[in-house]
Amino acid sequence: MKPITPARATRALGIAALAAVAATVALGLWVTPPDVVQGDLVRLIYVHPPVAWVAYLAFAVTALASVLYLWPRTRSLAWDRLAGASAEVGVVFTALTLVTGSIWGRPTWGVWWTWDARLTTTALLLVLYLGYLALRRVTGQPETRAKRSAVAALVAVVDVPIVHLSVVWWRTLHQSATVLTPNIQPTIHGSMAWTMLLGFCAFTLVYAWLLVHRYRLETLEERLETEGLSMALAERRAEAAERVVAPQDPADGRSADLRSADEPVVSR
Amino acid sequence: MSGYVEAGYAVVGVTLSAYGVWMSLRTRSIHRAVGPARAGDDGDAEPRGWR
Repeated sequence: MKPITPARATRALGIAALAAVAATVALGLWVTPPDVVQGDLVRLIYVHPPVAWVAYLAFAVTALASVLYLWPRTRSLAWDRLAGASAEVGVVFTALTLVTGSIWGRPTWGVWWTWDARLTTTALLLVLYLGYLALRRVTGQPETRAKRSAVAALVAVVDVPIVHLSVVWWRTLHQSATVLTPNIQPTIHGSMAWTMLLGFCAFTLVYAWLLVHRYRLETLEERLETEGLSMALAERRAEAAERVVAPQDPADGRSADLRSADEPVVSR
Repeated sequence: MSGYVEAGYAVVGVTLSAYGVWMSLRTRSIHRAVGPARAGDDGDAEPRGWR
């Protein structure tokens, strides 16, 4: 199997992600003006919606990879690895979405948490994908595990549009969509809009970089799992072979390293 | 600023950095466990983990 990207391309991706995040932070914290209503708290929207977007994207990639695994013509464990890697990155970003939203909610709404439709469905999304990751840890044949994980991913992804449309379907405390509105007309303008757009690009690059590395780690973990037993057996065989060829004590016919440590060695 | 803004940015930065470091350490640990990667394996691409 060949690497999905050469190391040089991965490094370039990492540098681009870092530069984009640094630019987003600089613009978000020091260049853009405070909002008329929210004041400086508006600066959190350069981070909170982008991380939420990445969570959506990650789970969409997981669902797509799961479909490609279940489709007989494209069935490959590589799709399963991609699905698992993307889901884990998505879980990290979903947790960040909840935490940054909570940090914004405390000074704005007066509470860290409320059972609002958007918040509740997002928390449910986190729990669903934690369950998905737990399911992937259940032992079994790789093909069986991949199949049941793919089905679980397709069930879990149903919550993604529910999260996004919850602010449209129900009366919620959470504000409605700013960029991805139903008629795709952003309600943010000027330097704020550009900074937010940069935030979306920056965190998408971070996601891509993390995904490439997580995919490689997933491959290594799989190799460790499948080869671990055979390597351990090979090591034991090698040790046994060494003992056979080791010089033996002519008195008792045992190999020197088979004697117990406290047994005296008789010199002749 | 209020402190909430800085806290939000810090949480994101620290979490993503910690996740990246964890991946790097785990990659190194597996490389040590399974030995040098075979030519052509995926693991060859990142023998030193963090890049």
